[in-house]
Amino acid sequence: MKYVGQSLFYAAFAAIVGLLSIWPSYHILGSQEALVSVTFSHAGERVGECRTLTQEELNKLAPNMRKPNECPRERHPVYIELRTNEQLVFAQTLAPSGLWNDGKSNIYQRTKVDAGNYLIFIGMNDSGSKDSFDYELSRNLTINPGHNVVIRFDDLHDTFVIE
Amino acid sequence: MQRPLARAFGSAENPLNHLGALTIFFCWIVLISGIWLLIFFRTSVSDAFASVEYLTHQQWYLGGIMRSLHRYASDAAILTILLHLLKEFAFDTYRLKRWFSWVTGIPLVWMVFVLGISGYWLVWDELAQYVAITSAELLDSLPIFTDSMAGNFMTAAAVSNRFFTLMAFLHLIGLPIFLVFGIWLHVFRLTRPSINPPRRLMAGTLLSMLILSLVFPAVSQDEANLALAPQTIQLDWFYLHVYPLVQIWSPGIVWIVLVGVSSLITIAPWLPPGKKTKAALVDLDNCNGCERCADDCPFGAIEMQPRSDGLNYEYEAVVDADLCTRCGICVGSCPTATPFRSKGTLIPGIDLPELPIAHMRELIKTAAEPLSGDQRILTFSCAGSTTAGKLRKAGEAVVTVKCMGQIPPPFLDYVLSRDFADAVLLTGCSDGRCRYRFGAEWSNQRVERKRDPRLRKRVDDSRIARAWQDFPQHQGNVLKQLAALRETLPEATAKSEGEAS
Repeated sequence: MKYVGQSLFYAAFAAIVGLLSIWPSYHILGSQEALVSVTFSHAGERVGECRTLTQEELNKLAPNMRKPNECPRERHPVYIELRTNEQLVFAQTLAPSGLWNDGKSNIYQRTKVDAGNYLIFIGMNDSGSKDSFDYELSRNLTINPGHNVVIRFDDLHDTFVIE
Repeated sequence: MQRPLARAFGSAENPLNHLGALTIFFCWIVLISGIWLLIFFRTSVSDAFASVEYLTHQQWYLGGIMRSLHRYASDAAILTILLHLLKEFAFDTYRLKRWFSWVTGIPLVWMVFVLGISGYWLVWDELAQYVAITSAELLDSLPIFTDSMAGNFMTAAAVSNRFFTLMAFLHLIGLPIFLVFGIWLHVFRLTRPSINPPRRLMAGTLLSMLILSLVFPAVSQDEANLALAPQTIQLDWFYLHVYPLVQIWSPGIVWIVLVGVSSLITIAPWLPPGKKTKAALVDLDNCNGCERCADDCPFGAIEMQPRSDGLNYEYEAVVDADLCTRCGICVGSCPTATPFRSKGTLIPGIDLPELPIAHMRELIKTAAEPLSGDQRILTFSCAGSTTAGKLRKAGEAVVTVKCMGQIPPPFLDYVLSRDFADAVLLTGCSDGRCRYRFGAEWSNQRVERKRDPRLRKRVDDSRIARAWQDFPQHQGNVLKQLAALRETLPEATAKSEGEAS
């Protein structure tokens, strides 16, 4: 009887361990759903113009500090808007990182969408202007179930990329 | 759970009495199986999945079993940690002077979780992809990184081998080192910490994990593909139960809940503040520096230091009040704690102000007073026993002490030789359930004359019974032992009368 009890304990213990290690399954997305991920880092324009220092001003500086231009550190926040089939999915204003607001603005936004055909529009404003987008991209896409459509900004070519 | 497990395993091998040691045992299984996996594992994004698949399928007879053992032992460790925490809480053995082990256990739980979660990254299957992205989302919500870490898991090109090597380093070397240090700190204030469970328990759990590994081997899910978003995954709920909440709530709220719950558990020993009682007191005039109290103290609260009073002994006992749990086990070990002393006030070398032995002697006299007839039994019960009240109601004479280890063997001699009772019953929490760890064990060894101070040879063993409670409701054993003891009494009395004549 004692060994029966022990066997039952070990069996129950192993069963709990085995079961909860994989069950129940977790459904992240529905069978007809996909993801649109917007993720990148981009530095907004500086809030002020750079100024060229005069020779007199340069002479006052230590030799190793003599940079010809003086630029304000602070940068504009970056405004981003994503639309699918002309419907607004999200619009965000991203503050620059850093204590002096001089770093890049970061976005990481994942949105569940139903699989299907979409007109994707993404626009970004990094100069503080509110009239128009500084950068934008529109593209017709067929999004399959389970796909992860990634939209990022290529700083090298100053353009949006959809992967 | 205590009752069925105590019946199946007995108190000495009851898994619930070895939860901490079982967790360490599972860590050993994880370590040994992990070393085998490491030999074949390749720490690169492109090769990690394939190397695990090789272990799982081509080398299923060893690598596959090792992988399954690695996973299931890790899961089992979470289960035993959870039960360990619940048990200490339920039995109220985490408060007052026990706070140190409790508090140092909380970072250990975090470490074990991080260790397990980092292990799932290394397989680089769909689950790893989900874990990597969700972990990165959690970390991104902290004001640590300027760039988004989760963004690095959006395209295959963004994940580098170097990052993978870092994760492997954390999982294989960095975190385990901290874990070992954490375990050491966790048991630092305990003397004779239970590091290994009984061998049969080890064999049983290992066998059950092996059978589970053979019947139900751990396998990978589809290879990670960052162009796809996993739709359904088989989640390890032991380690990853929080992850779905990141999507349901938000990473920030999950952090608040995790940190909030951890903080609450951490300060639990002081909620509400415990009643302050006085620690064990050393009386140098009666302390001969024998070291028995220091040997027997379950929490290392007594240190032997060079004599400070000029008496001709090498050492004196010094109690660290911050470590003393006021169990009185030191009093039970003190050779000067004898009730036969009649000159002056009864003060032993070390005593418990809460229940001094002088008072204990008076309690014996008071409890024994109403006893009459040939079958007078005096019961000593520990404060944790649930039987004392029941026995009192039944008209039995009961003396309650803090822990059974508090009773010096001369007290048993005193009860019998001074004819306060015809027999003595010792009842309390069984070994493994003892609130002060060694109460039952030391008590047994002293009565069996295997540990100092030993029961004097002149004391008739048959007139001392011991009944330990394996679980709170285990009163039947005590009543059975009491009845059995009573049955032997006329014979024992006759025997002693014969010896006397």
